[in-house]
Amino acid sequence: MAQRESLPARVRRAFRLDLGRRRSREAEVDDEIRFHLEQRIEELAAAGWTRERAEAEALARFGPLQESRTQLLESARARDEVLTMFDRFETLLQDVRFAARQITRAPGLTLAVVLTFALGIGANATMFGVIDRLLLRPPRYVVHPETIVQIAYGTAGKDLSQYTVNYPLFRALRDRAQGFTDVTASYALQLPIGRGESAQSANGLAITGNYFALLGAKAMLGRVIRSDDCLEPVGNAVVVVSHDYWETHFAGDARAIGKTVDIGNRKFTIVGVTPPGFVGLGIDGPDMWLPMTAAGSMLDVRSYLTAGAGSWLVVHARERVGVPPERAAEDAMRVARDAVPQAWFTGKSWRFGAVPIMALRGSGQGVSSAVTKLLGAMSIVVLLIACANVANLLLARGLRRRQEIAVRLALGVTRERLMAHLLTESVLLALLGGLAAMLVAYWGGGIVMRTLFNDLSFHGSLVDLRVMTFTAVVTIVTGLLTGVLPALEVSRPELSSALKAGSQDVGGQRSRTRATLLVVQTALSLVLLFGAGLFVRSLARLGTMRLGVDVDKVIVGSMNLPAVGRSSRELDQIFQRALERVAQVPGVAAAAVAATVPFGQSFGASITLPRRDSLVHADAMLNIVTPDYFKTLGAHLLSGRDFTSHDDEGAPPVMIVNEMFATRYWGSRSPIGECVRGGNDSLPCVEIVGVVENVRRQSIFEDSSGFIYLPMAQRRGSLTSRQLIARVDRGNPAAVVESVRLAMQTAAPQLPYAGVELMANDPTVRAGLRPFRLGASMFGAFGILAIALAAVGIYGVVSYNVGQRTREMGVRIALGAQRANVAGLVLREGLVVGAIGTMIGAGIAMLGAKFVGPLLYDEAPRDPVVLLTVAAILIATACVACLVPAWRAVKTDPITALRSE
Amino acid sequence: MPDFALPVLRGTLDVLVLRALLARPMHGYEITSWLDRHGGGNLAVLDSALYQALYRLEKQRHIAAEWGTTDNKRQARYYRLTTKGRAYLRAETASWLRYASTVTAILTAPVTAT
Repeated sequence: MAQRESLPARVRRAFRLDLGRRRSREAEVDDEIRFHLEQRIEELAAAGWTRERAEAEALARFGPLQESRTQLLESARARDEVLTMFDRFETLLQDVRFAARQITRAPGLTLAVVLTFALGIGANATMFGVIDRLLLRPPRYVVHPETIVQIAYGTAGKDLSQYTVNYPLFRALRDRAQGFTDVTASYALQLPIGRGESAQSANGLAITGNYFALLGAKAMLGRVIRSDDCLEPVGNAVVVVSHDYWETHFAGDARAIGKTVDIGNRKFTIVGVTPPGFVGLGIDGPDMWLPMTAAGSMLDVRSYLTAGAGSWLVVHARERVGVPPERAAEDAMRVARDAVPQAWFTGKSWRFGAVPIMALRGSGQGVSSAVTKLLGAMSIVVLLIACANVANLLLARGLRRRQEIAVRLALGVTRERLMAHLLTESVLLALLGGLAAMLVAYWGGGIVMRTLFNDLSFHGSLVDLRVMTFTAVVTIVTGLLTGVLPALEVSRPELSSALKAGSQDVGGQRSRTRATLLVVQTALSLVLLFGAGLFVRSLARLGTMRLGVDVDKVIVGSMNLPAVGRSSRELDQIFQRALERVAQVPGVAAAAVAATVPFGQSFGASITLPRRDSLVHADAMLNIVTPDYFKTLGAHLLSGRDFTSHDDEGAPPVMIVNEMFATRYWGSRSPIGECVRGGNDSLPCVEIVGVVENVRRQSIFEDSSGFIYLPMAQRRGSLTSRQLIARVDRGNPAAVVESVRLAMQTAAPQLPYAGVELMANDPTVRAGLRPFRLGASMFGAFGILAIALAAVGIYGVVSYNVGQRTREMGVRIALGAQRANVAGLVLREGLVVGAIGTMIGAGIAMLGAKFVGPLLYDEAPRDPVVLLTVAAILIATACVACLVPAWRAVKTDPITALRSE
Repeated sequence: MPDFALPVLRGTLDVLVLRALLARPMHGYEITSWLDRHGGGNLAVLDSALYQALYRLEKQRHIAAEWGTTDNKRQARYYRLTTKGRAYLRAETASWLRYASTVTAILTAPVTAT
């Protein structure tokens, strides 16, 4: 028969004791049946029945015994299952309530823990949100994005680094490439909308007719662009606008369908609106999509339908099931060599590749997967630091609760139950932290997006369902991770015996654990700070790197005049007038007009160099510029002279070459006075009058190309594109941008929109600098966070230890110890933690250096200067954190300290 | 068991058990006695069916069980009504009474030609 437990269940529950193991269910049911039958028999016997008859009657009333027993056992099993579930739930509920009470009892500690969690988890949520938006999330409304590839090419054995082809090649691939089910092409361009005062600009994507069909995307309103809109040579003037553009420019009115928009010199009819969040295949979408064959004059490429030499079109293809991408790419190359043999990228040394679009994500925005992985790893380090900090705080609190825990252990609470409580507490704290982390991610993500990614348009808040799911998972894991160590420590059985003995010494072992956590924290903080230091140094070096152009002082203005049908003569007149007006704008120190500018288009030219005994045919990059072009950029003239207003049609032809060109053909000799012929040797000789430093062509990091510059006055009509540049020496360049735009816009009546922007805001420039900006700012922010947490941690442990050692301090002072010695005792504690942590952190940093190295610019990944600086900062922080506890130790009153025992 | 015993309607046993426990916690045998006493011995219920009902009610958390000691110092499983069970009994009783009175009213209506 069952024994009643010595303590009633209610009491046991109140103290969270084990409710006692139930006897086996079978035994219970049997006991119950036996008891019932015995009662019945006794009653019948008492009424005068014989024993045998009573037994038979009892069994008859009960029902067929064996069968009933089986049924009852089954019912009991079903019952216990449900009740156990309820029990567990109730236990959990009680644990949570208990934990909540504990949490509210120490609001200061709770706040500290929740804040730490919020920052640690928030950092991860923010990072995940950013990475997810940029790299992980497939484009919306695209059917099976994983089977869409982009055509890329590179020289054999090297990375695929080029992504553009031309129209004839696209056509050949679309019609003849066997490895793909469909091939589509697109070209991003600025669309001049309207004229004159109300002129605007929009981001356009010129597409081929199968673009939407290949993506599998539908219109939200109206229709998408179809193949019959894109007939060659001239397609329909129709346009599909993005949801955002439709909302901002047409107030989300369905009647926008059928309206017309003046783009360039044609009227385009709006035929459709894309669904919200549709951006095509990239991260950021255009304002409108239009047939490439209708964009005609707006394209910078003349006779693009037939020109097979250049490269400007981005090509995407849908993989054919069962064809490996390599085979498809090889086949594409065969088609290309056949279709456009004259294109430079179809030469023998080049190979094609078919790159999945998801693998290319972020590459255009300067968010490579290497940088991203580093940032991800870094945010995990921040989380580890936060975990160590919280574990430390919980451990300290656990030690203060020794009495209560000892009582519960003495009452027979199992260690498992106790740990379950402590873990419930840490998970509850983590959940609160996770909620706060959402706020951190909401604000932090907003700041990151606005400062580091303000050139990308994002839809909605960074915190969405994906980020929330991620945060929830991280929160639970963090809560458990953080709780385990303190729970193991505090629930150690020997703790209670030590307490019963009234010993004061239990702190020793625990504070070693705490000190270890601190060392870990300090070491990780050093790693983060070191990383921040490396990136800051890289950024600083980049700042002093000569680009040949001061990107943060030069404003670039462009206006698509051919798009509105202006002739090249008119174009030059308008730009000349604009130049005169811009030069008058306050703040503008110099201005010039050129066929192209750094990070813009590139033009190549064939030249001939007459040498003493032979002719050298060569290629060079070409630009046509007005006087002051170099002065405006900030490029140094190395020798000779700049162009002047006298270098006009009547004067002898002259040119300026860059350093690269000069050294390639003349070595260390001066090329001034030498002669270069444009095209073939029948053309007149052009004299080199100056050498200018190398100016960047298309990216911040590139090998310089040989450049020749010709005066615009001598070369009217040879290149028709025009850009205006202005140099701002005083004041805020951003403030001058609008004045320059106004000056350009009013240079003639009915001009299209003038796009004016600081060169530093050019997407290419931004993408080039972004990895370093990201590294420096994120590492910096998290490094500061880490060091603050470490300081608080050191303060907490050291001051706790001082409290523990009050008596010892009192004795020391009473025995005549110098106050300085006592202070030194305390400071030493912090110093030891700081020093050991710094050393271990330095070790980790040295090991991790090889991963960071390739991401730095002109900076040794094991830079001793950075290491020493960071170490000094950390150790100094550790000392500062010890100041207050040291002060308290010195102020110990020996009499009070001794009496308190 | 008398031959004229009434079969218990399906589901009714549960309510009867709850009613029995309304007074005080009882073990299984006490409940059978109580039902016999208050039903005048008219109810045809196998004892095993009673235990089925008890386990079922426990599963629904209308009653809760705990081992206890009888007056004769024997161990028995005592069942008591839970708050949930009390509410259930109240509701079931009300609906049973309404049903019964309706049926009674119909069955006892005077037979008249219309």
